[in-house]
Amino acid sequence: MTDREPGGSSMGADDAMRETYGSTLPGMSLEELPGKIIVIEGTDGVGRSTQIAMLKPWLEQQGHAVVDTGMTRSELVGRGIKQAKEGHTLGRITLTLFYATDFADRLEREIIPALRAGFVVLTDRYIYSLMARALVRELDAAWVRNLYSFALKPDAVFYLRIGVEDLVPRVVFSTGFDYWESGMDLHPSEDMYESFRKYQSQLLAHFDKLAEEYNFEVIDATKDVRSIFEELKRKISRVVRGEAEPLFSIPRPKPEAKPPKRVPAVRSPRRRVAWGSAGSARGARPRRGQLTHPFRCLQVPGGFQSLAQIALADLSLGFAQAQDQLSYLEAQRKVGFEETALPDHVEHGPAQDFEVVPVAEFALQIAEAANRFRAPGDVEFGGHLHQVAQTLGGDAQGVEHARIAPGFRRPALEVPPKLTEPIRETACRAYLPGASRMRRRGWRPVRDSLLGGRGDHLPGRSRGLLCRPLQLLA
Amino acid sequence: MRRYGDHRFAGKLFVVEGIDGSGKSTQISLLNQWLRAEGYGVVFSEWNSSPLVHDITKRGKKKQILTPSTFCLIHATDFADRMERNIMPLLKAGAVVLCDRYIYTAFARDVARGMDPTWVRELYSFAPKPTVAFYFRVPLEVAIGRITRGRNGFKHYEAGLDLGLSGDSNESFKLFQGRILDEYEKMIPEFDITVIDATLPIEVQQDQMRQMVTARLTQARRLRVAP
Repeated sequence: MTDREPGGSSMGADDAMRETYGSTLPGMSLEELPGKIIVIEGTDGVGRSTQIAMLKPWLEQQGHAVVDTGMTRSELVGRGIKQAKEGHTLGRITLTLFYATDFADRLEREIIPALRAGFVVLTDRYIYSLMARALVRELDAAWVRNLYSFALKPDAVFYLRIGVEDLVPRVVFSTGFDYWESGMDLHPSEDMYESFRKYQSQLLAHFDKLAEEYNFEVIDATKDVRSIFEELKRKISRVVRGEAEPLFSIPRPKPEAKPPKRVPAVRSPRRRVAWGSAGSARGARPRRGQLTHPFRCLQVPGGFQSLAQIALADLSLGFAQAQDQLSYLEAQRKVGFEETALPDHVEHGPAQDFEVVPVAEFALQIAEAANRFRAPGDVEFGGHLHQVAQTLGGDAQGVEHARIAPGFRRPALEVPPKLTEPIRETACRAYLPGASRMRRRGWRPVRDSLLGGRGDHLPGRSRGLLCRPLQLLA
Repeated sequence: MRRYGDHRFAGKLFVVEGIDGSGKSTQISLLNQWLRAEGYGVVFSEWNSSPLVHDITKRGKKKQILTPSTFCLIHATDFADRMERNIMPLLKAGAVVLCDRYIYTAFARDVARGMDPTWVRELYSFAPKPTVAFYFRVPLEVAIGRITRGRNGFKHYEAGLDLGLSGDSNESFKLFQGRILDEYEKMIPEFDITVIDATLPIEVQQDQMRQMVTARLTQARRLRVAP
C-alpha cells in the first residue's frame, strides 16, 4: 500500500519474504522478519491459553525468545473493547471493526517488531477467530476477507478442535456461559444454554471451513492436556527449525486402540506363513516356514525403492520374529539377513526393553520425518518415507502395535538438530554404513538380497543401508 | 450485510465533505435548522463522535500511538457504531439524517496516509450511499487562512505529522491537506459528489444546498412531522 503497488505482497519469489493475505499496510516492510508466528486457534474454552502457558516456557527453555499475544490485548483498544462489551450494545460491524483495530495495533506495534527481532510470536487466536465471529454474525464474507487481508501469513496454525458436546461441560465447569460467547447478541430470545450451543456450533462450522481454506493443522482437543501439549511441541519444534509445511500429507491418527499394558511374551502358535507379493521377491529365499509380512503390497514407483523396502524388510524381520518366536538372530537368518555381532540387548534382551507403540502413531512419525526431506533431490527420499508411512498407517491390516527397540524412534527418524550440512548429506550419513556410531546404536545393514535379488535396481548409495530392529505384534 | 448503493431507505441522507476551513459545518448547521423549522424529523451526526469509541481515539491521538492503519480502523469503528446504532435505524424509520463528514473523509485522509484506496473503500462498503453528498471546494490557501486565524499550531494528526512530511507543523499541515484535496477531487466523479463553490458568500451556498435538498424531499413529504 505504501507505494500503491498492486497486490503488494505476494510477488516475491524470495522465500525469506513474508506474505500477507493480499494487502500491506503503509510502512510495513515484509523483508527481514526472521521470527516465527505460531497461531493457536480454537473456539472458546478449548484450552488454548492452558497450552500457551505451557508452550511459552518450553520454547524459552529451547532458547527461543517468545512473545505471546492474544485478542483484546492491544494498548489502543484492548480496554475499550472490554468496556464496550459490558454494555451489550455493540453492533456486529462495530464489534468486528473493534477487533480489527485491536489486531492491527498488535500487528504493527507488537508482532512485527518481535518478528523483526527474531522472536517466536505465540498468538492466542489470530484473524481466523475474528473472521469466524464476523461470519457467524452474517457479515459479508468478501468484506471480512478484505478487512483482514493485511494480516501476515503465519508460519503455522494449530487448530484445537472440539465438538460442541465436549465443549459445553468444559465451559459450564470453568467460567459459565458468557454473553458474547453464547452469541446472545444473535439469539436474544433463548436462554444462554440453547444460545451457546447454537452459536458455538455455527462458529465451529465456520472454523472448519476456514481450517480447510487456510490449511490449519487440526489437533483433536478432546484429548488430555498432556498429549495435546506433546503433539504441539512436536509440531512446533518443526516450525521453529524452519521446516515448512508438510510436503506430504501426514495421516490423521486413527482412533487409538489401547496398547496392551504389558508387552506380552510372544507365544503365538507356529503358523505356516507365506511371502507376500511385496516388490519383486524374485531373489528372496523363503526357507522352511515361509514368511508373510502384513503389508501385502508396497508399490513404490521408480528406481528409488531402497528405504521403503528396507522398512518393509525390517518389518518382515520383526514379523518373523513375532510369529515364529525366533530370536532376532534366527529371524535374520530366516529372512536372509546376514549379520554378525548384535548387541546383546537386541538379541537376547527381555521383552520389556521393547517399547510398544500403535502402528498408526509410528506411521505418523515416519510421515513427519518424510517431510524433512524437502530440498531438490531429497524430495524423492522423503517420498519414500512417506510411502512407508502410508503403508504402515493405511494398510497395516490387523496390526495395531509395533514393538520398537529402545531408542529406535529418535535417532532413526529425526534428523540431528544441529544441522549444518544439507539434509541430504545428513540423511546419507544417518543411513549409510560405516557410521560406527550408528552401529553402536543398533543400526544394522540390510542386504539387498533381502528383498530385491542382487539389489541391482537399488541406487548405489542405498546399498547396505542400515536399519534398526523393529517388531510387529499382530 | 448490504453494501454501498444497495440500501433502500425511506429516510434521506445528506452529507457534507471538504477540508477543514471549507465552511461545511456552518452550512450543515444552517441546513439542519431550516429542515427542523420545516417540520422534518432531522438527525445530525458528526464524524468521530461515537460515545463508545471517541475516548479511545482521543487517547490514541494524545499518546500518538495511532498508525495509519489503526487511525483508519478506529475511525471506521466509530463510524460503524454511529451507523448501526443510530443512522441506519433512523433512516429506516424515515428520518432526514445529516452527516458532517462521511466515508469520503475517511477515503481522503486514509489514502493520503498511504492506505490502499481499494481496501479502504471496501472497508466502508457497509455504509449507505447518501442521497446527496456535498463537497465544499475551496483553495488550500483560503481554507488555511480561515482556520489559522485565532489558533496557534495544529494537532499532531490533524497536521499529518505522523507521516513525517515535514518537521514544521504548519508546513506539514499544508502538505497533508494538499494531499487530501487531491483525493477529494479524484472522488468527485467516482462517487457522483455535488460540488459547491465554498468561496461564494454563505447565503448563496446555503441557497444552492436548500434547492438540492428540497428537490430530494418533495417525493418524501410524508416524512414531515408536526413542528
